[in-house]
Amino acid sequence: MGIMLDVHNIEKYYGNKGNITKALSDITFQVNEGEFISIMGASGSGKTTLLNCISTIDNASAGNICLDGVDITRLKDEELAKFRRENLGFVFQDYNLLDTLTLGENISLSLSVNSVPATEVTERISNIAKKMGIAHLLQKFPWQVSGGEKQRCAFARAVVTNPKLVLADEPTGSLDSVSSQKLLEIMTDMNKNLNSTILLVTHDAFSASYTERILFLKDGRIFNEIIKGEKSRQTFYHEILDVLSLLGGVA
Amino acid sequence: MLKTLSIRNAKRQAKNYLIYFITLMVAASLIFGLNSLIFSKDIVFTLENTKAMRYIIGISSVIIVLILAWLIRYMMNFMLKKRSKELSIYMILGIENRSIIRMFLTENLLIGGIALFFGYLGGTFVFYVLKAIVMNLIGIEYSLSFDFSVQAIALTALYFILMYALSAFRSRRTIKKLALRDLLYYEQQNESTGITKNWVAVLVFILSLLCFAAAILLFVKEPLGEGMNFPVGILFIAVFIYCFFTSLPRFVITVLLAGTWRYKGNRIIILRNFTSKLGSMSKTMAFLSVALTISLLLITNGMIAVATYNYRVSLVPFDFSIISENGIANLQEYQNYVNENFDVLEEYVYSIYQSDSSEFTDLNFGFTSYSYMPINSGGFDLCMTYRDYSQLREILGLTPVSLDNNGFIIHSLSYFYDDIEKHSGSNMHIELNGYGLNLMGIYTENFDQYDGFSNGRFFILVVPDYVVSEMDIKYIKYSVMTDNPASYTQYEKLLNEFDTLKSLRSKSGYSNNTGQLEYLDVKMDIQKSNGLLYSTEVLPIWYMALILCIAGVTVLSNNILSEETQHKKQFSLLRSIGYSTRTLDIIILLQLATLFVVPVIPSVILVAFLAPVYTKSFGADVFVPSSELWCNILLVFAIYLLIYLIYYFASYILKRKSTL
Repeated sequence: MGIMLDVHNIEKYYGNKGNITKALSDITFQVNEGEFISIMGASGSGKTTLLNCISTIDNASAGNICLDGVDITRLKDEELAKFRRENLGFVFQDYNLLDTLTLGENISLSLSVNSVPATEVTERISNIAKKMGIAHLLQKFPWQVSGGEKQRCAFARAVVTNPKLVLADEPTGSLDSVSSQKLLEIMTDMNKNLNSTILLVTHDAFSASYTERILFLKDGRIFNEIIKGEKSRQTFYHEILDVLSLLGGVA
Repeated sequence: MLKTLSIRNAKRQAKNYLIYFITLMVAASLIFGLNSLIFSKDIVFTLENTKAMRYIIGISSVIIVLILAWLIRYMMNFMLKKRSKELSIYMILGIENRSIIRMFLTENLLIGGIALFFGYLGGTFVFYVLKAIVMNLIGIEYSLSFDFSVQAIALTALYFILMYALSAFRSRRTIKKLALRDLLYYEQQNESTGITKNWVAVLVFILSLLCFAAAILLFVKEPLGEGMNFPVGILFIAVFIYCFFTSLPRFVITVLLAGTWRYKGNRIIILRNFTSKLGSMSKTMAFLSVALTISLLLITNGMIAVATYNYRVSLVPFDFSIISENGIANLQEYQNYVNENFDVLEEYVYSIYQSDSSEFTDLNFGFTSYSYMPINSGGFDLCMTYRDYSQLREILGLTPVSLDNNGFIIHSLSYFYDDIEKHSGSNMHIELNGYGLNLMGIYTENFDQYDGFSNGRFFILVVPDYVVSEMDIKYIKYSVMTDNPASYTQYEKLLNEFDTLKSLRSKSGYSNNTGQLEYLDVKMDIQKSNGLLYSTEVLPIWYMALILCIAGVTVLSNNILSEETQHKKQFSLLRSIGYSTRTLDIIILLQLATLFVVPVIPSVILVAFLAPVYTKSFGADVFVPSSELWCNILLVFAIYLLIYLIYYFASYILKRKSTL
C-alpha cells in the first residue's frame, strides 16, 4: 500500500502584521492508500483548518501537502478546480446539497462535472444509491428527506467518482445516533470493499472509533496518535475517551 | 448541466427577488417610454424645443444608467451572498471559477433580459400616456396613432447592456477574487455592527442630532448658495448620516431596551429585530437615506416648478391682448376681426403710463432682488388711470374700489403686500408729475402683473385720471376675454391676417420684444410654454427621482426579506410558545414599519426645511402664495408615501407568505 497523502510541516497563520493567530503548527503525518483515518480535537484545535488546507479550500502558510505524489500547495488557482474534481470527494456537516435538485441530480453533479458519459450516469447513480440505501429517494428533493438520508446522498455524491481521497468534516454532527451509525457503517464498508481512502474530522469519540487511526490535535499541533490495530471497536472507543480526558475533554 | 441549473436558479430567483424584478421592469418601462417620446415622430414634428428635451432626457438617462447599475451590482452582490453556499458546492465539485462566473452572469442577464422584454411592453403603454400628456400640455390635439421607433428600442437595450456591463464587470472581479473558503463562509459575513459601547453610542447619537440641527440652521439662515453655508451644511449632513445610522441600533438598545418599558406588548421582539437588522445594514440604510433625500428634493423641485408655471397662467386674467408701444394703428380693424372671429365676452382698450420718476420703484420692496426676473427700473413708475382700473376690475368681476382726487392705489403681486404695507403704514405720500398723492389702498388680486407689457411689472400705481395728462403712454393694451376658449388655429389666423401683428410669446412663456410695434399676447402661449418646460425640465427630474426612489426602496425591501429561513424559525418558535397568528401578523407589520420609516425620517425633515429655502432662492414664492407651495410640497410627500406604501405592503405580503 502506497502513501496517498503526505502532509509535511504544515503551518497556518491568520490575521495581519499586528495580530497573528497560529492555527496550525508544524503538522506532519501520512495517510496510506485505502486507510480510514480520523482527526480529533476540541473546538479551535485546528482540525477544520487542517482539513481545509488538505482539501484546497484554504492555503497553508508553509509546508507541503502531497496527494498521490502531487504537491497541492504548488498548484495554481486555475489547476485547483480540475484537481478537486478528479481527486477529492467532500462531505460536510450541513450536507451542502442543492435545494433545487433532486437527490439523484445532486449525485449526478459530480459525474457531469467529470464528463462521465450521460448513458453511464444513471447506472452509476443507481449503484451508489443502492449501497447508500437511498435508491428509493432519488426523485425526492433535499427538503423531503431526513437528515441522515441527506447525508448519505452527500456521501454518495462524494464517492460516486471514486476519488483518491474522501474528506469528511463532522459528517455525523447534525445526525441522530441511528443515522450516524448507519452512515459510519456505510463509510467503513466503502473503505473496506472499494478501498476508499477516507479522512474524517470529528470531535465525537463514537464516530472516530470506526476509523483505523486517530490523530489528536491540540492548539494546532499533533498531540497524540492512536491506532486501532486488532482491538475491538468498543476497546478502541474507551482508548479514545482516555486520550480525550488527557486532552482536557472535548468542547 | 450548468445551463439547466442556471435556468432553474434564474426561475427560482424570479420568485425570491420579485420586488427587484418588478423594479427593473418598471425602470425599463420608464426608460423605454421616455426614449420613445424623444424619438416619437409626432413629438419631433410638433415640439419646437425637442433638442433641449433630448439633451436633458439624455443626461438624465446617463444618471439613471449609473443608479440602476449600482442597484444591479448591489443585487448581484446580494444574490452572491445568499447563494454563496451553492456556488461553493460548485467549486468544491471542481467546477472552474470561469464557468461559475459565466453561469452567475447568465442568470442575471436572463433576469435583466426578461425585465427588459416586459419593460418594452410596459414602456409602450408609458409612452402613449406620456405622449398624450405632453401633446395635451403643448396644446396639440392628440389622436391615437401607431408610433414606433427602432432607435428607442435600440437605445433602451443599449442602456441595459451598459448597466449590466458596468455591474457585471465588478461582480466578475468579486467572484474571481473570492477564495473557496471565503465563499463557504460568505453568508456569515455582515456589515460591521457599528458602535458597541453604550455610552459611545449615546454620545455619537447626540452628536449626530447636533450636526443635523447645525446643517438645517446653515441651510435656513442665509440664502441658499451664498457663502460657505451650503458646503458646510452638506458636510454636517454627511457627518449626521454616518453617525446617526452607526449609533442608532446601540442607542435604541441603551435607551429603549434598558428599562421595564420593553416588557410591554411585543416591544422586545420588534425592537430587537430592528436593532439587529439595522446593526447589520447601517451603511445600506445611510446610503438609502441619502438616495431618498435626493429623490425627494428632486420631486419637490419639480413640484415647485409646476406650481410656479401653473400660477403664471392664473396671473393672466385675459385670454389675449394686443399691445402696442406707439398707439394701436390698426385697432379698429383688429376689433372688427376679433368680434367677427372670436366668441368675445369682454373687451377693453386702455393705456399704461410712465411717470417722470421712479420714486415708488426706488423704495425697493424686493422687486429687484430676483436677478433673473429683472424689473425695468428705467427711471419711471408705471401707472394707470382710476377709470381704466375700475373698468378692468368690473370686467374681471372684482369688487369696486374708490379713490379720492388726491389719492393713489397700489395694485401688486400678493408677495409684496406685507412689505409695502409695512413701509407705507397708513400715510404713504408720493409725488407724480408734480402731483402729491396719498396711498389709499393696496390690492393684490390677479391682475396680469408678472411680465413685460403687462399691467405693471409686479405692481402698478393707480392714479386719478388728471394725473396722467402730462405722462407719456408706455403702451396701449387691447385685452379680450372670450366666452369659449379660442383655438391655436384661430390665433394663427389672426396673426396671418395682419402683417403688422407679431406673436409676443412665440418661443417662450416670457414676453419676447421682437422690435415690432404691435404684439399679440395669448394666455394659451403661456400654457404651451409650460408644456415645454414640463417636458424638458420637470419630466426628466421626476424620471430620475422616481428611479432613485424605487431603486433605494428595492434595496431596503430585499434586505428585509433576505433572512427568510431564520425568520421562519423565529416565528415558528413564537407560535409554539403561544403567539397567535394575528399577533405575529402585527409583529411583521411593525417590524417592517420600523425599518421602512428610519431611512426616510431624516429625508423628510431635511426636505421640509430645505423646500421653503429652495423655493425662495428659486423665486417661486414671488408668484405663488406660500399656502399653495406648501400644498404642493405636501403633495410631494403624499406621492412619496404612496410609492413607499406600495413597496411596504408588497414586502409585508411576501414576508407574511414566507414566514407565517
